[in-house]
Amino acid sequence: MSRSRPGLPRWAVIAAITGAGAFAAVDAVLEHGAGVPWYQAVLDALVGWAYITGGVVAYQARQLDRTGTLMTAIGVIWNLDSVALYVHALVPYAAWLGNLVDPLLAQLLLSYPSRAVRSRLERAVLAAAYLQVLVVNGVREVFVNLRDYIRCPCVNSFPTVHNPAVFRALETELRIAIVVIGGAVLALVFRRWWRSSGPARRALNPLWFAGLATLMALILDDVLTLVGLTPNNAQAAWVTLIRLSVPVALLVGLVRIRQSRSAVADLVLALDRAPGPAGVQQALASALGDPGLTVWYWEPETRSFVGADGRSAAPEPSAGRATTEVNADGEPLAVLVHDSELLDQRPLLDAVVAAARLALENARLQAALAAQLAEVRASRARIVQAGLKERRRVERDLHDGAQQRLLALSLTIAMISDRLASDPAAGPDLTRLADTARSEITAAIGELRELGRGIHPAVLTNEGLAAAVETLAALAPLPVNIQIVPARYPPAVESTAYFVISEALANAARHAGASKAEVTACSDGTRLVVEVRDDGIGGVPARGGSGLTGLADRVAALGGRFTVTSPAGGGTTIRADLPCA
Amino acid sequence: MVVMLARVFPLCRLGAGEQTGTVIATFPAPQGTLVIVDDHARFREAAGERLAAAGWRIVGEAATGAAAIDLVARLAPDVVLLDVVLPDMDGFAVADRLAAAGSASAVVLTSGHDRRDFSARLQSAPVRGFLPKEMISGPALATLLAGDQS
Repeated sequence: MSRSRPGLPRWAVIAAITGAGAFAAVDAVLEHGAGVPWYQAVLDALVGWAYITGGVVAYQARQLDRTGTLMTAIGVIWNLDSVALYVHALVPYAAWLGNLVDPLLAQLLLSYPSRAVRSRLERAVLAAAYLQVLVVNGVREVFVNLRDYIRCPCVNSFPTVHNPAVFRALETELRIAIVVIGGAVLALVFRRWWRSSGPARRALNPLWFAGLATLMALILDDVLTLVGLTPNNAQAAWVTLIRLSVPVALLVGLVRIRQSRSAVADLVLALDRAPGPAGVQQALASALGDPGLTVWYWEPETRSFVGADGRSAAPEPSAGRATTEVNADGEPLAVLVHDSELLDQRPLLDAVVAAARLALENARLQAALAAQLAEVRASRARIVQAGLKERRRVERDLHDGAQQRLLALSLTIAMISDRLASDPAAGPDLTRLADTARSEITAAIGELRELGRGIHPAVLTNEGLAAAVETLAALAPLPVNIQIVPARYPPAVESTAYFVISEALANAARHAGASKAEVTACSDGTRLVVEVRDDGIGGVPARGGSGLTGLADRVAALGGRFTVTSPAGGGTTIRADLPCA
Repeated sequence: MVVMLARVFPLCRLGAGEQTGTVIATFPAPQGTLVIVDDHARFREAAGERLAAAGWRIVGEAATGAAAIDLVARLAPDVVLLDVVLPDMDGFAVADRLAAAGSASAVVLTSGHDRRDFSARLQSAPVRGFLPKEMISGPALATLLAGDQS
């Protein structure tokens, strides 16, 4: 089989098929005219036409060259045999060579689909078959008067030694040879079919079965004759009809292969666009004509199958559904859950799976990557949220615990201080000590309060971003113009926005040498955009310093965008765009 | 309203800890009656002692917002010293509920937090003023009440 050979020209194929058809029509009429029953005449003509058509189509398909050639030869020789029925000059040649159709059929079946006959046994059996036809069948004619034998006005082409006894002995030998050699061929063909690999066997089934049926019909026909039953017209018609099955099966197989190839070609085009897990599922569903087809990708980490959406679930077997597992390098890759009727179209299924294997592998990696990325994003957001929650908790604990004790203590010390001040017996040293303790504890409370504010400002929890930024601005060493609409947002959004503004104002005052700053925050309900602008020296690198990088990470963790615009000498604008969902 | 949540105890405490009851202390009071609402017992104690020393009569204490509302309704004190951060509801909500119930008591909010942490809500709340916890004293309370009344 050579894939580089160009196919027959289309016109040649059409001409051959129509020519053979026209010939068959004329042949049927002429055969019937020569005394052949009409059904036998039509069947004879059909067999010749079908074998030529099947052979030409197979040859043109560039897949079954050898099969096509042999089949065409069978058709031509079959026609030669038929023509002899009314062109009597051909009778000697037809009687001699017409039986070549049987060794040719044996060779066709033993070489199908594309392999040469390689086994020594197969070659020997085939050689015996050709020998029987070319030698024994030819020699037989020497001992008979064809005019008597076929009852037609024809003459022997060869010198004859009329001897009916030898003729009958040779004819019996021929019939026994047909049974024996036919049986051997039957066994060898069956062995070939049995040994062929699974998918190949399924692809080639129709022709194997037709060939085996034809062989069995021929053998049975001869066995019946050998045991003394006279061949009749009906029996001959049945054998002829069964002969028809071989080209028909070949054409059916070719149509199936063609359908598979066009579906696979479409699939390859669809997969070329790298469609992702869901797209691969859709492409496979359309290639196999099963809209309910689902693809489940193997996830090696969890050792389970996940759906195209990345969610984990085992493919469930149900009535009318079948599963086809796709493997790569011995590892499971994916499993297709599809209509069980597709198992009858195994060649198509196998071809589709083969074409999709690479895309399935890519899709599996994409599905795994998407699942991992989603998990990483979710865990980053969870970590940031947990951090913010933890800060709120620490601040609350500080306020509720140590600070409350210090506050109570400060009141007690204040009372001591008051009593000492009004007690004439108390010495001035004691009064001074009590006053010192009182001012110390007041300072400690103030520091603790600032510490808590730095961890998480209570005003943010209590009153929201606008009030918290007001507090920030009041503490800032430079004038800050604030434009924030009082509104509440999710705690993580408020905290992140607050820390962005806090850090930006600190930068403006400490490093940028700014004389004033402006803070704006606006929201459309789905996003909160905060912006801090100063008139300082600028030149802040986008990822400069751990402070800004930390802010960028926090904003990104919430799925937002963080940008720093800071041309040298042109002030700095820090902007965070936070989703509020 | 869960009355049992009100933690009221006599000012002249014998022994430590807090007692649950509705005994109302009697003490000569030039300043008026006062209820302290705070979830920290130690703070209620310190603030109560300091204000009592200044002549306020502490008629009751409560640890939660719900108990405070109930107690104020029953005792009708002159002043309620109300912590902003309470376990069940915040001080602003308690003040709103008291005002809605027609209470005539003057509400003074107090907190360990800074005044600025509540500035916006302080302006609109039905309270007489805000006193940081460490500033609580008889004169400070009197100044606040007088200043507000003038």
